[in-house]
Amino acid sequence: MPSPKRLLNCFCQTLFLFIVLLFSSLLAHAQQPVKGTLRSPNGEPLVGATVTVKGTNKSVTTNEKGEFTIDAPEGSTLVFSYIGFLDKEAKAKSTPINEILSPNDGTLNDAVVIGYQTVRKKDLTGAVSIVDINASKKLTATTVGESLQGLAAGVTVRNTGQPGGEAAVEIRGIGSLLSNNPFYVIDGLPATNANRDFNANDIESVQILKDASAAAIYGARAANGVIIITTKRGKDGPLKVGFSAKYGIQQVPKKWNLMDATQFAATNKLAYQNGGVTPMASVSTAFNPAINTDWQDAITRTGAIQDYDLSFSGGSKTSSYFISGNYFKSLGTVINNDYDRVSLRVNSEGRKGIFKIGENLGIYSSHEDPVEGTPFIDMVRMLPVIPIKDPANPGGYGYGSDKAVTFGTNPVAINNLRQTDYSNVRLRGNTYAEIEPFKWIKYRFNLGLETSFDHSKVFRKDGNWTYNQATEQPFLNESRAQSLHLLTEHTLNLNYAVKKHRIDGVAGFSYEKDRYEQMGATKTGYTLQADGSYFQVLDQGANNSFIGGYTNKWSAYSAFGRVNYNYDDRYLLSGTFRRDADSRFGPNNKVAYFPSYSAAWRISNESFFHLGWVNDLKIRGSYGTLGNITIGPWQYLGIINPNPRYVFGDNNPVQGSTQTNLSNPDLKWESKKVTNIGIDFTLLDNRISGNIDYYKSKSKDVLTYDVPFPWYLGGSGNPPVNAASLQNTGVELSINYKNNQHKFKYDIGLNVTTIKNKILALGNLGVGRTYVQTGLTRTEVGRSLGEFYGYKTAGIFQSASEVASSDQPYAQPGDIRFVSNKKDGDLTADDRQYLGSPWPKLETGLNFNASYKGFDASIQLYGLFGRKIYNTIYSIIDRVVDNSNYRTNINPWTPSNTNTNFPRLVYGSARSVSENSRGDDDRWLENGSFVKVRNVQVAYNVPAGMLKRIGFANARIYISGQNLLTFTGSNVIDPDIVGNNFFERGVVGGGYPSSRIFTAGIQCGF
Amino acid sequence: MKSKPSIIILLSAFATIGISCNKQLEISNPNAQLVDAFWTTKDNALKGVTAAYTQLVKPGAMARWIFFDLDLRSDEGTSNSPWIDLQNWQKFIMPDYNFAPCSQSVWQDHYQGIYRCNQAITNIPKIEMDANLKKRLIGEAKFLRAFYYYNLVILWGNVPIILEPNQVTAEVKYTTETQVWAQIQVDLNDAIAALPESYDNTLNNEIGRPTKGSAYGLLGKSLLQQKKYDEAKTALDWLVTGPGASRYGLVPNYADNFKHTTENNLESVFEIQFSDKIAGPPTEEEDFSDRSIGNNRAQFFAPPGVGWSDGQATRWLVHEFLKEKTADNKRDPRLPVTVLYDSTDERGGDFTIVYNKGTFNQFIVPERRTQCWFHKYQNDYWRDFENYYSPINIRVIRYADVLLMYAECLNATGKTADAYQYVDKVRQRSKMARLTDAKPGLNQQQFLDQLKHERIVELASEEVRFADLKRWGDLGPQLSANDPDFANFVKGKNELLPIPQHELDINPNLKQNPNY
Repeated sequence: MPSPKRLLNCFCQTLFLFIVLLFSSLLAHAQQPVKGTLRSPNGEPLVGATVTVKGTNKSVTTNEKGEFTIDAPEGSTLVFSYIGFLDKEAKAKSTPINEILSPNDGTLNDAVVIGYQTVRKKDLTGAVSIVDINASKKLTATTVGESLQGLAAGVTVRNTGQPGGEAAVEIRGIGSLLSNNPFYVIDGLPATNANRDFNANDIESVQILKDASAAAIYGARAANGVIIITTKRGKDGPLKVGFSAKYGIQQVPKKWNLMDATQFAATNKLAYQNGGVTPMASVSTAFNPAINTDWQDAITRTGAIQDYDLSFSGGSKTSSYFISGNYFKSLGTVINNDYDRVSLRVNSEGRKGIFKIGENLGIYSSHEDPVEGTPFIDMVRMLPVIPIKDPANPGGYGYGSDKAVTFGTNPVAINNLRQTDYSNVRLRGNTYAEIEPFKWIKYRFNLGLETSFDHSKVFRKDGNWTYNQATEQPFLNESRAQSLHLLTEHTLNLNYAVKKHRIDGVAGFSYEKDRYEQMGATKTGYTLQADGSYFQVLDQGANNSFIGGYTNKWSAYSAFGRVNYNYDDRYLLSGTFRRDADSRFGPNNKVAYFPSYSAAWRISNESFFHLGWVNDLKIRGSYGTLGNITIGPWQYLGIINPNPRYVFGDNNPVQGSTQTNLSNPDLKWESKKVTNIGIDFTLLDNRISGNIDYYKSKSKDVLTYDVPFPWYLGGSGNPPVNAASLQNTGVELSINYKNNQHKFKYDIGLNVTTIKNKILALGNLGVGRTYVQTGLTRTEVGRSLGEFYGYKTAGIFQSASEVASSDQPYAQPGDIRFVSNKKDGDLTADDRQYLGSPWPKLETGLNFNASYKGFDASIQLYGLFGRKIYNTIYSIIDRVVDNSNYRTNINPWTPSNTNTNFPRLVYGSARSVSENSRGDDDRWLENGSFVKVRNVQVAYNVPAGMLKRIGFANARIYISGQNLLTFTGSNVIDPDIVGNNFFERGVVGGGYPSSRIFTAGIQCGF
Repeated sequence: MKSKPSIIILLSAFATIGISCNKQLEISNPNAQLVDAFWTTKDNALKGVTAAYTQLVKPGAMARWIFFDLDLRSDEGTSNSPWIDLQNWQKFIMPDYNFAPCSQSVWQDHYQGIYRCNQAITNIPKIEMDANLKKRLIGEAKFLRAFYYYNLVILWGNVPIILEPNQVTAEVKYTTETQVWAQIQVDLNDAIAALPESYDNTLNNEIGRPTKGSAYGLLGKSLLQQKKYDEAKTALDWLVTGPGASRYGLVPNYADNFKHTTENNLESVFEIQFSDKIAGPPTEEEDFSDRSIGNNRAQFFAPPGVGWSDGQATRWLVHEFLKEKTADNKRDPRLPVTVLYDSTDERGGDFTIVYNKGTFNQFIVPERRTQCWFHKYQNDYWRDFENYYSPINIRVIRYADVLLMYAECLNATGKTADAYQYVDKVRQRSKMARLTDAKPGLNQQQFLDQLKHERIVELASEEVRFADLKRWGDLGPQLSANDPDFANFVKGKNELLPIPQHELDINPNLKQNPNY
């Protein structure tokens, strides 16, 4: 816990500052007033619009009736500005000024949150993606990240269909070898995570900071990009009630075409006979036609998704509030697998004079019943001749035996015999106070808190689920943890304009403290009760208790600032600086500095620029340094292990202690230097808008555990070292076309991303070794991360003479022929070669929205192009020497069926036969390009006249289909999955595919 | 501007907050003690040395894999393991120089032991504590370091010498077998000076620590292995004719040397202490609270149905025992203690009992009934099962070994007649006729040949045979008469294991052993 004394200290300091500010505000005094009202073209008052006396820093905002009063000398010029509207000017006079502002369709004046500061979109000098939140909310998604797929250039999202599963988000590629998760800031609370414990319905806006200029204000944690989320606030006006409900069904998008029991028995028997092996009883002598298990049907089901959201909001001149409640539940496509979440949010704010105080608070309670085992692999591993239930086995389930050999797991058994539950309660919130004595200066104190109480419970009942399984006692493992993150932050925002110069900036300090405590215990010795149940509490475990626990803590102190200078809306300069000090690093490396610079030139505002069809054109460039913290605390310290034991004669263990792990006192931050060049443009009466960015980033001192250390140093395991260096380059394009001049309105958004990754260094891996081999892939200096590396195949041997001239003298006609790099009479590890890259050459998203009268419709497409993926499932079911089910469309080679790429069907242990089944070759590599129809939605907005009678203000009903279709060159169920780590990114192996979801919903307000 | 003074106040207040919050960045680790803070007390000095012992009972040290490298790779043992790579290692087929069990694990566990000794040897001198205890603890750590290097030099020869508790940046040079032996001698001479002749056996936590005698024993063994017979004899003098002679002797019952109930006895010069008191996972990972400190050997060598049967005795070993009968014309009583086979009970397979589970002929499948299993260190004398937690100590140096080594030194230095008496002592314990009576007047070579036999029947499967063969220059394919595995043996190569490739890859200073 933070010491109460410390908190008190910070509060006192804050109070002191308030008093100082109050005092200074009294020094200002009044002038003669000019009055007026601002309205929109349809007569609505513009509330909160800014009225400035041109050439001065004097300004006021309009009240709830759109009225303003400002002290201005007669004859001076007043400038009216309002977000979403074009600026307008008028001469100050003694009579009331009534002005109507025109909306700005180009949204160039939209406010963009860039971290501790809000700027106009048109003033951006860095690479920032502003997510179309309406498009994102059309998705049925567990996390915000999942709903961002295809909506922002440079943002790669990989999905999962697992209830409660979190999509993986990467911004501008892989820059770190430990973690590439972006840094989330929610309502100004950093170091949080918009994970599944967050209700995406509450979101007002999402901005993604991609380059150094934009992200450097978050310094040490910004290298993976920053996602800034702002939740909804109450708007001026009477109480508004919003309600939305959504219900949908979800399905596995595709099934494998696998054999039934009869087909399997015939094929398997033939394979054994071809290998000279006696066929298994289950497919020959004891074949039982009554057993014909479809394991895909046995483990999957039609799932369901529900999402209900209710909100209240409103506000006045002095206060605003937003309160929401949400229930979300996803029943997975695999049995015994679901996730649900209840969330509450209260955002409120009060204003009095120069003071403002408010808070954002979210409370979430969630529960997950995860899948047990690997059902998407086991459903092909299990044989159709094995029954789901078999009373002869311990636990009562069928699985492999010497009559039906498979080492697959009965997925129904494991999901019934082992029960895991994860639940947690999370509280995430901040409270803030602002004082704004003058229009040009604002002080803000922000106190943030995030805490989560986590509970995990695993109970394993008696019984087996796989062949040759060691007997395991029933056990209960239970663990509880609490995390706590505290933030205190002081910022000062400045904003000053004189003539054509405008300067704004922010300076601040923040202090953060983080703590995680965990404890867990395991017990065995549970007694089966007469009704078949167990008492699943630790107290009921009779023996073998293992107990463990630990505490992690860190703290960070940061000072930061940004200055933006704007000359005549033509020349923009911005500089950002952050100093981070973090307890996680050693004394020599605790502090790091993260500067960035950027500049932009709005050519369209130059007097020489005369292209009528160009509304706005801006060129910008930036350069800066970002940091990354990917390791836990105290890793730089050598520590003592208290666990060694030895007995001295009497058989009673004596405790010893010593250092067992090598330490690396030189651990430091990863740093990433990013160069970005971009163009922002709006064309054709603001109908087309977009931007293009080119970036190059170089990560150095990248931490890795993959640098091997000599065993003779005597440590266990490899300590992390700052050894690697990575480079990413790419181009991002996003372009929007909008046509809303007619009754049929539509807009199209397209974004295109390229990311090229290159390894610059990996540390000392050994003499002449420049790579790390990870399963099927190799990561080598000068190439991309995790490229496929294995044997290249060259069809099938058709004759003995082909075998004789090959490097596989042991082969027979019908066997796979491998390409040999070196003719030496044998196939060796040296014959492997690079087989392709898992990284897409192009990523793209296309979004189309249209409306006509009360109807609206949208479609979202997402595509990846130019990448290879590894089809793990084919590598399993086509591996004849290790029993799984077979696909129905195999076409094995026989002397009379030679025109095929499937080798002879043989079960056996001969080298040639086992090589036909080897996994590390290009037979399983497929074209992983795809285009996915991510979402289609059709909605009807009920006319206001009909609604008045039932008291509704608005109502929208819709139906939606998600992941409807995937066009792909591969055979996998879903080429878009979270997948393995980045060393094996292209390995699409038995992951939980994104579900195909059909939903119907209603959104209404009253 | 009118507001100037207030702005100055404001900014200074802001700066004050900023500066005052800049603290709390030193957070101590609540999960573990830091290295520097640890080496400050007497209790921690004891703990640090205890941790150096722990490494002895790791799988790669004296709990499991070393028996594969020493016993199975000699002609006394072989492997019919279903794990083909493991079996091949014993047949001198070693395609993977980093082979996890027999290379990596053994190498790593020994160097981890050395790392722990180095920490103790470097840090304990700085601790303010009782001078005698300090001296003794450093002596123990030096003995252990010498022991770890002894195993390494026997197996790999030219291994890197590490004498400091290095961290990740250490640079290490190539060192030869001769240099390693020299280092072992330095450590053992220091240990001899520092260690007591005996410990107070009433203090429970002192039994099993090396004594002055242990250090002399290991020094003699090391010198003998280098064929420095005079020096070896001098070292062993202390045990055989010097003050140690009254402290050590032979226990009347030979079998007592391989039981947990008769450990640390009169005959024990140095032994590794195992316990079944912690029955957690016996894995290779770094120490955790319930990690096994038991002996895994019995589980790996027990016949199928009881253990994994990954290592077995050769039939030749049995024949070696049958060459000579006792003085009263009975079978050498050491045979049934050493080998479990169809005639462990002299009446045959219908009488030999396997772990109280049935007779040999009932319990062992027909196709394996001609095979033999090691019997020493198995737990069948007190229970009918094996597991990873055998409590039986491994006797590293027995007094019988000392006597035979002493005889070998005397014989080698021309004092063959003198040597007889020591062999006789060993023979007489097992009711064998005195050699003086059975084979008087052997010449130097004949006596050495006899000693070779004596060492087999007395010390079989006690991790000495491979070193013996190496010392005598007997390693070679001709041994395939005893053990067909030796058909693959290449002279000038297989005397040493290949240095793990992992080490050569990282450190170009190192060199692979000859002909690999």
